[in-house]
Amino acid sequence: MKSLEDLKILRDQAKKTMEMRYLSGGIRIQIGMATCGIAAGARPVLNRFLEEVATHKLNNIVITQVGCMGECAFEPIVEIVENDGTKTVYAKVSERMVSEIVEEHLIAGHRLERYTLGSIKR
Amino acid sequence: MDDLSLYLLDIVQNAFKANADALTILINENQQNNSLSMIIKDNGEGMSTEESEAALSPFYTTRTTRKVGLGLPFLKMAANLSSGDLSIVSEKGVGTTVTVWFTKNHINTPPLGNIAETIYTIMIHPKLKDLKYIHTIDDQSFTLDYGTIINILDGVPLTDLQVMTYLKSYINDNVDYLRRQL
Repeated sequence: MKSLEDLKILRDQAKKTMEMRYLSGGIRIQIGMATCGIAAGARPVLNRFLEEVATHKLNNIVITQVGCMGECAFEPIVEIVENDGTKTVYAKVSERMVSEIVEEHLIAGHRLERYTLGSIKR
Repeated sequence: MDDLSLYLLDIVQNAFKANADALTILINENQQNNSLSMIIKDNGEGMSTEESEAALSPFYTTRTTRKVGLGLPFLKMAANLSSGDLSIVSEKGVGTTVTVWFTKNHINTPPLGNIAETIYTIMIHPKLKDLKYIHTIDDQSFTLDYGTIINILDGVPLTDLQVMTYLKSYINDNVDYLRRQL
């Protein structure tokens, strides 16, 4: 049976190993969490992003839950806002696509055109 | 929506939209009464009587991106399908309480789903300042208090990989444990 005592141990470990790897500036990942997003599977996608970002120690990335972006048929929608204001909107994001987006877009810096709202809508 | 945990997450998003920062979530499962209920209480802006009645209509919404608002009507429909119902009690400036109940063993009652992932997703919402989640199964209950956890973490973020994994299994284990007690 897990108790919060174990959380204290984890906290102490985390404090010791808190290492930061900053890429240039901050990146914001916005995930649509309205009824349409949730029904389409946004919650597991958000949680995959959290796991991937934490695994790669990308500490300059903020993941936020936002409302409906008006493209309900293309949910789950993930918007990536770079520090220079560049926006990329990925549509119909599945859990499978998350690690690819993290590795290709966030780490390597290549936008995955085939997953963007623009190319999916076409 | 596949399960109750997703409905819960959806209703909570309404609370954040209404600028709530403190939430109480109660889930009550009772074998004897054959009932399952969920209460979501927030300290948001609240609604007038007219607004809270209108909120149950799929054609009412405050958003501007589209003309329908399906969250509450979906949940009410799901409850009605299992001879349960949904009620909203709200007061301007005080907050809103949504109560929904189901017949526990009814074939149309959705499964609970991944409640740990929903609670964790709520915990990391940037607007949240306080959350109490109390899950009761018959006479046993499990309480998660956001404040206690934040105090223990002492600055370590909730999104730390170890902390994230731990909290989800902490919630799952404790809810499972309630079920095993039966």
